[in-house]
Amino acid sequence: MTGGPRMESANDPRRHRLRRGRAAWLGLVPILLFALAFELLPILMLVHSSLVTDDGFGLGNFGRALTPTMLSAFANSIQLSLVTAAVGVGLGGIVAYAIITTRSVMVQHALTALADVTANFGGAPLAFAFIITLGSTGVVTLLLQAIGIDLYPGFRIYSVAGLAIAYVYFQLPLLILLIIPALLGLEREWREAATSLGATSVQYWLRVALPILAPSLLGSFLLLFANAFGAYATAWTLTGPDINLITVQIAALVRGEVQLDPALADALALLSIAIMAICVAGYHFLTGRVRRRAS
Amino acid sequence: MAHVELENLHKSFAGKPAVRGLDLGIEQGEFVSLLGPSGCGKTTTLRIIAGFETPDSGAVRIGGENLLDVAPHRRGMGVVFQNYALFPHLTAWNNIAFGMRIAGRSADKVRRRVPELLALVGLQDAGRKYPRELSGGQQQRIALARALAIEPRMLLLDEPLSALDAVVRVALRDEIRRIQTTLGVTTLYVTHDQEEALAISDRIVVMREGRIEQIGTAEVIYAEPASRFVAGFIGKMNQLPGRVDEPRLGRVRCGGHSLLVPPEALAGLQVGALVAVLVRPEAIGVGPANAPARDGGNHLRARIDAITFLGAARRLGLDADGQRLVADISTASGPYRRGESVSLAFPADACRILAEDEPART
Repeated sequence: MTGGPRMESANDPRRHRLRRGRAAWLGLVPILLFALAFELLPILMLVHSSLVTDDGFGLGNFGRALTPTMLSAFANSIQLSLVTAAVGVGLGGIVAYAIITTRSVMVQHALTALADVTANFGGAPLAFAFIITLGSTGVVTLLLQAIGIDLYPGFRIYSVAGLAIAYVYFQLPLLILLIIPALLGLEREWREAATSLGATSVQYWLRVALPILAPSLLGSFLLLFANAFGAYATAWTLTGPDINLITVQIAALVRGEVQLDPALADALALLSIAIMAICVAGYHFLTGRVRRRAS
Repeated sequence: MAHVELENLHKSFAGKPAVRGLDLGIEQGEFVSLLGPSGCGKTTTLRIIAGFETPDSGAVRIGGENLLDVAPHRRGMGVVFQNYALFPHLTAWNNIAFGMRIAGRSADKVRRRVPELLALVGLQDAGRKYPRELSGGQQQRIALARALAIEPRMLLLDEPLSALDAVVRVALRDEIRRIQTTLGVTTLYVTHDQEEALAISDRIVVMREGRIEQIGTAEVIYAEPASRFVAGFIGKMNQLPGRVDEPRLGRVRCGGHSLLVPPEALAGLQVGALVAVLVRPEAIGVGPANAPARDGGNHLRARIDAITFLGAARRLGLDADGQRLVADISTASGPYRRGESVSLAFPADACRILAEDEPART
């Protein structure tokens, strides 16, 4: 058959690729719907309501957010997040390295699983766990008292320090989970090459390992910061309104404990989202850099 | 006394011996290759010298100094790894400068020395590039320059060409030898590639299951393998099983064939003793089936059952009344076809004898 229209075979690779492409997009529909319903739409509603004032659309709610109390809440949240992220990175990095260098694979798996569980153990249950262990009549407090060590009144679990300890409880295992892949990426030969070139263990860590790990550590720090910044239930259950954090302020404005002002709460929430989005973007930028370096 | 001495080295991992009583001496400026299959202990030996592994017993000496008393970072060993192991966050320049900076060399000396080393490995313009921007061959050149930058007492290369493609491998192999000869640095080279070891080494140490099977120059190892293992591992070798027939006349019966071998190779062997006759493929002449047999030597009739083109040569797979042989002939000779009958000829002197479980005899 010459000169007639070209018949496209059912096995035409272009059509096959097209069909596969459509099928792949179809598979994404559930997650896209989920993201739309529970992430994009709420954020858009948040943006909308934060811009609605008594005089119409404007930035008035954001102006009202800059009161000394709210600025103090932002400062406290940032401070608490910075400290717990730093402690999480410092201690978590050491624990993660200990885990991956443990000879027993069973212990490695067990500790990684424990980190997985504890990283997700937050909110009110975590606060209660700390109250019954380190509260004024907690188990550990009483045991220490029995051997002559009085935690109270010098220490209070219901304080900023207590809150920081509770945050570290989930920050540290989260760091472990985030940093283990990066630590496993450190090649044995890099250490051996550094050693053969005359480097001591300290010089290896300072000049080779830590610079290689830096983007991963910094990225994880940002993620831990965002994780702590957005935490609410643990703080509220443990310290109530005693500690002025931004998440506590937002909840109070929504619940109308002092005043009912959802528009102001939305403005504060949007500012918080912006801070966390910057952290997450930073994390993705830094981990992308690690991937590009490895490729 | 050799410059480098390994004395009765033993090393086991989880009760499994990796190195078993290894003794080796390496002269100053010598290029020695450790050759053997995976798991033969060659890399473990290198790692013991570098200080990355501690032997269970034995001694490692350089210039009379016991290295086992010296911390790995003070041994002054230049090590080149199979996967290059360049520091990914440093440029080629800074990788090369790393060891010099650790040693506290002045910035001025580093500035003078790094370009020299880049030129030595033929990568003058690569100083500012990161490892990810370099090809595998270029990365290995930088790794070599980095190892040489500390002016090592000894250069240790652990299968440095294994990850490279064939063309780059040959080029870099020659480059490594040229640089080693230029600098005169004592070198231990670990490889499982017999062609690489034959091409590059002053001496080859063939290892098997943690022990040394044979030490010698490439020519000696190739022409006079000390065991069936070495014979099989170094190049292609025909191994014809047989029994001693007439020792004084140098006759061995292999299947239906009576082969002539050097009579002295059969000295001490009883009639009927089990042996293997070893003949290299290139020692076997191939001619037409009706070619007249000359006096002396061995003449067999065979059928070609495989032909493999090797470039400069063709390898013929042959069946000589049940005896399987291969013969390498020039590409120019022939043409031969599969299924064709041919005559084979090889002199008695081309044969070596291996008694069962004994070293080779000539």
